[in-house]
Amino acid sequence: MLKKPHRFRVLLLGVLYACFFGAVATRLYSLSWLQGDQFDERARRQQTRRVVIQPERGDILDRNEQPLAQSTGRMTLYIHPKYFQEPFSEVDVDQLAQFVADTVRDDFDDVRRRFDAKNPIAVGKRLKIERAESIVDLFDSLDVDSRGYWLHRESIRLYPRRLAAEVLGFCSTDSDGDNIGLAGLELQYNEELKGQKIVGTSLRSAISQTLEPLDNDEMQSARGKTMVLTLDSNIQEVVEQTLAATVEEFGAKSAGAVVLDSNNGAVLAMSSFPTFDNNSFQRATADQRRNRTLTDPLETGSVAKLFTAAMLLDLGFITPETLIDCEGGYAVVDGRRLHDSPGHYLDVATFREALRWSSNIGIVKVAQALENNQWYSMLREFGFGRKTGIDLPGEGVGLLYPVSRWTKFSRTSLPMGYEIAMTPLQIAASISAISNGGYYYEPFVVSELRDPSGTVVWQRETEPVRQIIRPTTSAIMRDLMEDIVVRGTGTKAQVEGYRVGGKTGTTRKSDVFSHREYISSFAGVVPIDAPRATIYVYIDAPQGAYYASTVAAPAFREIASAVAIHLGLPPDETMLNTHREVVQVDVESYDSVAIPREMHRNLYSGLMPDMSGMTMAEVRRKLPRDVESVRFLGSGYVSDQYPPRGEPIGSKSEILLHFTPAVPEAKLAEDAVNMASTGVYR
Amino acid sequence: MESAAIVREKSGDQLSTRSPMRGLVQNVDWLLLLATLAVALVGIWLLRGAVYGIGGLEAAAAKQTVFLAIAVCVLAGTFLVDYRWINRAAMGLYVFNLAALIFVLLSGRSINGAKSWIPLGPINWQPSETMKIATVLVCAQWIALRPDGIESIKGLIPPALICGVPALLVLAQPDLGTASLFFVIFLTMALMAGARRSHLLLTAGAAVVGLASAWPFLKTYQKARLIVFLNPESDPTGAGYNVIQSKIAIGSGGLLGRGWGQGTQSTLRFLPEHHTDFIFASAIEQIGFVGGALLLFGFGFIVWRMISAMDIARDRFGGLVVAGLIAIFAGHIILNVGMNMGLLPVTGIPLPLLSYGGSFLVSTFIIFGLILNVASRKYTFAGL
Repeated sequence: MLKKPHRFRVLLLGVLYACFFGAVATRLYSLSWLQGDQFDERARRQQTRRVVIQPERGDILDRNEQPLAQSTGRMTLYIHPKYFQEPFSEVDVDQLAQFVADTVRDDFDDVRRRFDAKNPIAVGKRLKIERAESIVDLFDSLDVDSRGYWLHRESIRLYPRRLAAEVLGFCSTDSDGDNIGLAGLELQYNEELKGQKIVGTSLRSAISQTLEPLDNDEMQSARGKTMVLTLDSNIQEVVEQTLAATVEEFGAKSAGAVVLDSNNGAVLAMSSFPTFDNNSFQRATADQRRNRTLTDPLETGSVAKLFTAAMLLDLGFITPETLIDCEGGYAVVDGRRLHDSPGHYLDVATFREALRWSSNIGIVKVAQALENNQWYSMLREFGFGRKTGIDLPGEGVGLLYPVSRWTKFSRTSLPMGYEIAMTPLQIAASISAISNGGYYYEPFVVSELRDPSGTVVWQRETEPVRQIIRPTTSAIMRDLMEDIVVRGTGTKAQVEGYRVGGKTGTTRKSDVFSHREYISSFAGVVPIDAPRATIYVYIDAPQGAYYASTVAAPAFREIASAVAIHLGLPPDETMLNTHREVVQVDVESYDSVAIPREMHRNLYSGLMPDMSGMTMAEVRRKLPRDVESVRFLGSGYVSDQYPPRGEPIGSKSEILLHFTPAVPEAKLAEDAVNMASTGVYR
Repeated sequence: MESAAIVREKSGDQLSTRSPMRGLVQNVDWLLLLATLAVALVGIWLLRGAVYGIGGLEAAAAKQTVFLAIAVCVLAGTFLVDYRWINRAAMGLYVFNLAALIFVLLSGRSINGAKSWIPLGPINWQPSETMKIATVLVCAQWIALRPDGIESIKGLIPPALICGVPALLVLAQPDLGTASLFFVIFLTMALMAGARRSHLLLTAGAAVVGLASAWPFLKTYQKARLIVFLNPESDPTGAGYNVIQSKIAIGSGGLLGRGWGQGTQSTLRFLPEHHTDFIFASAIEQIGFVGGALLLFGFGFIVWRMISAMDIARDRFGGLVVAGLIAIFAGHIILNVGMNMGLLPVTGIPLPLLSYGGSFLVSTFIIFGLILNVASRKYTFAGL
């Protein structure tokens, strides 16, 4: 084929290619040998990055190791639409957008619009890592330019149980990418939870700033500490449901409850209503976010009678059997008109009875034995006006005026819980101490901190911070509290199978003047013979019914039942299948006194004595104890009586006594002597 | 120089009277065949290393292995058919491909901004690949039939049109790299056919003018690539990005490379198209200067064997076919490696035997099949 010139041309072609290969080899030599170090440096510079990595926040677990808050890594996928618009057809981008929309579970039109944007834009925020990677894999396989998309790793906080939102609080990310707690435990324990920032050099890729930043072990060890709480999510759940249901049933404004371990102050449950979902805390109002049980001071109302009782018993001023003249429900004490709740009017009653029926008159009268400074310091001991010291932010101190600011009504207000306020947590802590032998424990929520490997690095120690009453006083208080539930205003708080004790509280709110508004509350302990849990529950502004006995006591029962079950308390055999003896009170005839049953114990028959000029207390002592129906009309001293003197009377007899206020001078002097000698508080 | 008529007559005789197989196998250029297979296998190994750990691409190497098996079968088929049968089919192939090129322009699938693909079931067919081969065949046929025509300027025009028409269609896709390959094909074949030196220089000059006049028709990104070619650092994150990343990949490979699968420029996705157009950079990153020199030696060896196959071809048609195929093969290497090293503008020309892609691998093996075909029949047909 080839003539001589062709032979030359073959050679020429060969030489041309040889020259080319020579040129390429020289270039290769120049790039990778001569300039190798320089390019290596350039590669190192662009492939590595000084990274500051905020590790995952520590988990928060309840006492049964159930997660209440968890952190998990997520990826946000950004695209630079330019790198999709140029090389791909509209149809191809449609398909890509469809895949992305399906994967990130977003609306197709919304995603498609992002592909038409001018500037880089996120197409999927906080995606699960597998999802982000499946999109990246698709982009890879379609040869999308690596400048066209990248991933940004971030950590998100999840609250899987949606429980105890106000206690847990919430956290966010600041401008440096640091996660910071903003409320609740997330705020209080931010340092422990947020973990150690990692600063170092790591590989980066063209599409991800922090892809596989460091080895997993290092990330793990930098993680925040795991926090174990004292909360029991089972109990917490019941508490939250109960509050919601109660608020709904009574059309109330809000509610709150605290459940404490009676013997160490551990918070088993703590909840406010209305509440919020801390997974989306941004949408919650400040009102929903507030931990009312921690911040809101409540005029404790009748629940405070337990404090008054405990003080007086501890100081030895009274015994449960001390008699008090409750004056039939209306009385003037220290210049102040007092009245008791309709249906629970008492005349001369033991202190036990006065407390059982929550007699304002009875409590206020006996409390007059207290001296101001002593009173004040005991209230301080009980926790009024001072923080409990719980490990949660924003705790309120309640309200306790110094003696210098007491008014002329203070001495009559304080015994029944007015002019004084406590947060629900303070009340619960105090009631715990009163029932557990007198030991006041600082309430706490966090019981344990563990490092990422699971080693316990800190454990809560529980020592009582002070003793507020003697153990014997505490025993009497338990007896009195049980009495209230068995026979008194707290019967609706009874829990089948368990002995419980507690006190109702119905407070008329002093800050509402336009209409009557009440706070209905109940503080109780289960089981009362050997306290394990203290429960305080309140309902703010229930409509219709507002007495604690019908609003708060049933809520307490719900919670106490759950506590008994979830703490695994053994049922008290004596309490099983026992019909509880409940005193029926005839509310219609409010001037009739319900005479408590135990006064009927010593049955005897006799004749009707002459009662003229007697006080109600004297009448009480004179009358046979088994008399069922006595009608008192008026007040003061007996002026007329039926049946007349000398008539035989028995337990079935109807007795009618008329009183007139006219008091002879001599009588007053006599009364004063009586009080000193008989110990009857008038 | 024999006439085409005689060629046809003789070939008919030979095919019917002799057993070609024994002679064929004896005359196969085993060195060329083995070098090709060796580079192809190394290519798959390097491809596997380039996509190592990249989720969406990991399957590429396995697919490429399947494509290689198919390509080897196609090579065997191309080799066994007497190239003079192919000679008869050439015009048909050419017209068919031309039609396909027009079709893709009208309704082809767009990948990376160019309409150049026809989806055929599981694979995408790129007509410009097969067009190059058809063009070589038809061009060789035309020149071989007119032994002396090539020496006149008038005789150069038909081959120029044969190469030019598909080149324009490819340019319209737009695929500047492949279009320029048609020019290389034409120039190489004209050179080997014996065109006058002055004519060749004139043609080269005309090409420069033509390229300059094509400037207004280029897409924005093509213009950017050409501008950036002169100074890549002027736009390091935009048009200059690919070349800079490619140079970093090659340079950071150093003397011995980072090791198989350890090319961080590729695995961290800094290097774009690291399994297709920039596979060379990705390969050098893994195997370094030493490996790269060996790879280039392999390519050089193959080209040398091709040139010697052309040298010993027994007829003008065969020789010209080989010349044209060398232009395709070597042209790809020149354009691709030049682009990878920043010596030539970025044009999107893949590297034979290394770049991922089924239809490109198959068409590369058709080239080898045809060259082996021509080379092996150098003694089987007397009197050419």
